[in-house]
Amino acid sequence: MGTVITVTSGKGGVGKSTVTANISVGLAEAGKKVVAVDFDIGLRNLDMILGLENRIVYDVIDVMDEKCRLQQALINDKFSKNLYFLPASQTKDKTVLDKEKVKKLVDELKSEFDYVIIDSPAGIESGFEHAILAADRALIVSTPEVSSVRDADRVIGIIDAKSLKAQNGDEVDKHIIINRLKPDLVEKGDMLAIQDVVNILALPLIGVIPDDEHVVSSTNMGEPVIRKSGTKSGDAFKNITQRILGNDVPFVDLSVDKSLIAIFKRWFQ
Amino acid sequence: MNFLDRFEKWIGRKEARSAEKAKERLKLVLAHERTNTHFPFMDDLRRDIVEVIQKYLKVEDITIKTEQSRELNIDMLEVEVSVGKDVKKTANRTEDNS
Repeated sequence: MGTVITVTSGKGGVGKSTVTANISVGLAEAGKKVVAVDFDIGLRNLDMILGLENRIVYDVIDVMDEKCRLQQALINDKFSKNLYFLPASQTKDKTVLDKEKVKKLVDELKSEFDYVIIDSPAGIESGFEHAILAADRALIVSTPEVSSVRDADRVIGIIDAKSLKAQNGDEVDKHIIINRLKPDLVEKGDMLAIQDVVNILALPLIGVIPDDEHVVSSTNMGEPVIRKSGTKSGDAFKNITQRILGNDVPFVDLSVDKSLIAIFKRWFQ
Repeated sequence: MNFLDRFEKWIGRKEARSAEKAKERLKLVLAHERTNTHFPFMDDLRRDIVEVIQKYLKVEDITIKTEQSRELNIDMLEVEVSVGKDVKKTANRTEDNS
């Protein structure tokens, strides 16, 4: 049986789909059979981040409504043979989902894949509830900004209330991902530090992704940044992948390099 | 690394490439989505096209691009179909699997 990981945040635009795409690629490259599922019905985006937007024929709602077989809707990634993608429906709205159908679909995916990564829509309404319903683990993405941390806290508070796992007396395994950290701003005291966010949200941290322009160009190209070796954000995603797999990876020091060479390098930026 | 990036950007290569690609991809996707609102049957039509192609070719990766436009008084619907990997290879792979 596979593990279901829901990527969520509360606030929109903090990088849920980017995180979903990158850890899905990471786990697939590590040899796991992975399916990335876009649950943001009506506002599909994961397809473009993965670069698979032109390959969509059927979507997740078609599968749930039994308009097609699961195999017909699954899209195999261009580079990772182990990675499949199940797109959100763009023409319907999220009211078409219902809990029974969601559970049936996720169970079917769990029996075929090692990891089912669900990209949750922003907000705490029905779309989120369906995305978290069958989760074994939740990755809560937050940027080090006031509104993002606040909304993340709201979401954390209702995860267990909405999950089947919690209804069966267990607990959803919750971790925080801090996205778009700017070490120089933290240094100046103008951005919440990693430890501040972790203390406020009171949950274990699974990774920090530094603000990195490579993420922008990767999204432009439809090629997740984790495939670009040597990039800070790509390496951060690789580390998160390893931690999901249960491997103990030390956190990379993101503080500003004060050596002479580094200062000299920054002159050229 | 940073310096090299800077240099590439300075000579106008790197940034332009990914932004250009983003523009292209967005135009395609939006053209497709707007076609959907103009022709509500578009999704079904795409599926039927895929089914017909799969009847003749053993391919999984079928890409269909649609674009709707209007010239003079004529509605145009452009459909471009590409079938990814070459058919022979795919057929062999299917034999291996069985």
